[in-house]
Amino acid sequence: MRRWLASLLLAPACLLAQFQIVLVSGDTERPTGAVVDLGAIDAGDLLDARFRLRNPQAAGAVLDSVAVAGAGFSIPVPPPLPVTIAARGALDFVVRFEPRAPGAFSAVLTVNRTSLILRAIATAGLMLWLEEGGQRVKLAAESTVDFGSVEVGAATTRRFSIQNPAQTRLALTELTVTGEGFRGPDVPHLPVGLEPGASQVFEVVFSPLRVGAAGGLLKLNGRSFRLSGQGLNPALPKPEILLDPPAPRSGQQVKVKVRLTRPAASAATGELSIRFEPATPGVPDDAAIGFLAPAGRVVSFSVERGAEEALFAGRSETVMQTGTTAGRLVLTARLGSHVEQATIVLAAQPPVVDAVRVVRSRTALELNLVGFDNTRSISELNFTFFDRDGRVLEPGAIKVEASSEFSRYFAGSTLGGVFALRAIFPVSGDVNVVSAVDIELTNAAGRTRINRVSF
Amino acid sequence: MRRSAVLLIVAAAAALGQVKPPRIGFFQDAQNRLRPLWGLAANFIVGEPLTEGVISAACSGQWTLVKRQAEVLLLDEEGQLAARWEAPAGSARFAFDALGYPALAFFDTTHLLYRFRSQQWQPVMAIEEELLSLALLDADHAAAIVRSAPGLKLLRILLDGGQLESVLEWPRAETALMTAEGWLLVAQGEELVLLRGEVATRLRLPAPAETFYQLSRDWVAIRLEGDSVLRAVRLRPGELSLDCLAEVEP
Repeated sequence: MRRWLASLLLAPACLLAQFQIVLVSGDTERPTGAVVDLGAIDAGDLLDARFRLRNPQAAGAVLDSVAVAGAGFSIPVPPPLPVTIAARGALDFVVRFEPRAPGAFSAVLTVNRTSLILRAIATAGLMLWLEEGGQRVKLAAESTVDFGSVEVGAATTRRFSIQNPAQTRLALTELTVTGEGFRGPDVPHLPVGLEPGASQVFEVVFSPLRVGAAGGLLKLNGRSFRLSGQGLNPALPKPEILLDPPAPRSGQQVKVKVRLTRPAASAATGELSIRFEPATPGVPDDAAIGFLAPAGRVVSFSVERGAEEALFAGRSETVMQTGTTAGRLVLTARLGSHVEQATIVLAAQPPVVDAVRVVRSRTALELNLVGFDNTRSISELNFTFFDRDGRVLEPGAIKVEASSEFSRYFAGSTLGGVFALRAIFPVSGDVNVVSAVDIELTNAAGRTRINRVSF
Repeated sequence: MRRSAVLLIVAAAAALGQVKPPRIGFFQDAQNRLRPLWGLAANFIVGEPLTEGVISAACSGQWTLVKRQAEVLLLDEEGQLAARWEAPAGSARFAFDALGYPALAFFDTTHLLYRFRSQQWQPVMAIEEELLSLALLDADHAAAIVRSAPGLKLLRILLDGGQLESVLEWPRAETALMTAEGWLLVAQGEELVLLRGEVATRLRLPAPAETFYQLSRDWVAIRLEGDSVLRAVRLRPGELSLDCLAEVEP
């Protein structure tokens, strides 16, 4: 053993002939000799030393073996072996020094037939542990503790412990946490002595103030540990669609509100849309269906932080029209990941008369009627005229077969079920005798009767 | 008991050939374009713009007068150009006769009132006050609603010679409009009143009315204070209804 060590110390030059071994620190390379001092670290830390094997020859060289032997030293990711290092090429690997206790440490690093002595010192210091799920993970200086993703306004906590692994009493002189969103323990009286083997537990809280990546620093007796986390948009509350009137029919304007199930934790935008499904397949779309301000079938809304209802261009409600075609209107509110729907069933209904005007001329009555038929199926009209005393005028009820005329009109209309009807009734006799009319319209859903329209 | 036949009904069926889309009139959108408007109460359908650069417009249902920068256009029921006249710059007010034909025009920059006669606009008189609405009362008379302090004044004008026949003051009224039938629509605070002779029909508004203009014989467009939504009021004695009109994006 002694002879082996002596030959190692005396003959590095010839043994290093195959590869040049350098120590890499950042962008700089440091030549190595037979003994390489890696420096001193805290007994609780680890040190990664990056070595580079350079092949200075004009031909490729084979690396057969790389090994480190010595307590506290390891090669965490050994290179795949054997491997050929190209002419003028290089290969890097890391030797880790992770002492378990304070003291002076050494190891032998062997590369093919070349050997170096590595030396390092572990000073007595406090160890920092992260406690997670009933397990403890030792933290090295400059390592990172990830707090994960947390909604803005919420918080998550990590539990740490400081341990004195030495045989003597050690002082805790510094324990601070900095960084936006990170909050550490309140330790007012430092230094604090920690007996051999004793531990001190503390917590660090991460409560992000904004969306995005957050970083902090935990400092313990001059050593730094990085803290990281991610601020997320708070989950948005579920939207609910409120209608006024609650059960609209065809031909109505409806006030629509979007109420939130709880106050919004953050501002957001959403969207409210209408989809029309006609009761009769193939019926053309109804141009009147939609929101009014702005006009269209999709409107955006905003939610202020703390608000319990959405705003449509600053207003707490928007107005929509149901149109004049039977079917279903499906309203969909989208806010964040929530998709909520409300359905308006527009039942088929008998014709609806909106306005009637009768104009007398010398020889005729001109009747103008505006209304809608949400089934587009008007088949029959009936008119009964009355004199000033309320008596029915001859010939009594005038029945008009109207299905072909209305079918032709609706086939070419994209305005829903609205129509304007103009009917002229030639009069023989004194037209001024006629003073009122009863009107009856029939479609597939039923019959509508308008009594005594006076004129 | 039925009276003797006064109705000749054989033509009734043929008359039903006239089923068509219900046109309300034309309106000036937020981008000063003139658009056709179809539908009925609470169910409006806005058509594609017909013309741009509209400063003022009024529609009788049958005819539409449009004021652009230096001209007045007359459009028929289908929106087709029927006539065009040069006119002073700025806004204008129009009135129609009972049959819906053009009758009166007032140009705000010149303060001159014109009557439409023999296919020509003929000057009648100057009105210095701010004019809100015009109406033709009969073949010889016009009514003008002007802003006064406080309230409004209703002027009765003899068209031949341009004589002011009478003045009625409304100190509480804020804005008003007179229809071709002589109905008065008056805004007082958040109340809208339709006066037809002695009959008053009232409607509570969400906010005070700022401006009105006539969309057709039965419909008036109304804009409320602090409200970007254009609304429509249907004029029907005994029943006033207020609906929203679609706000068309540029």
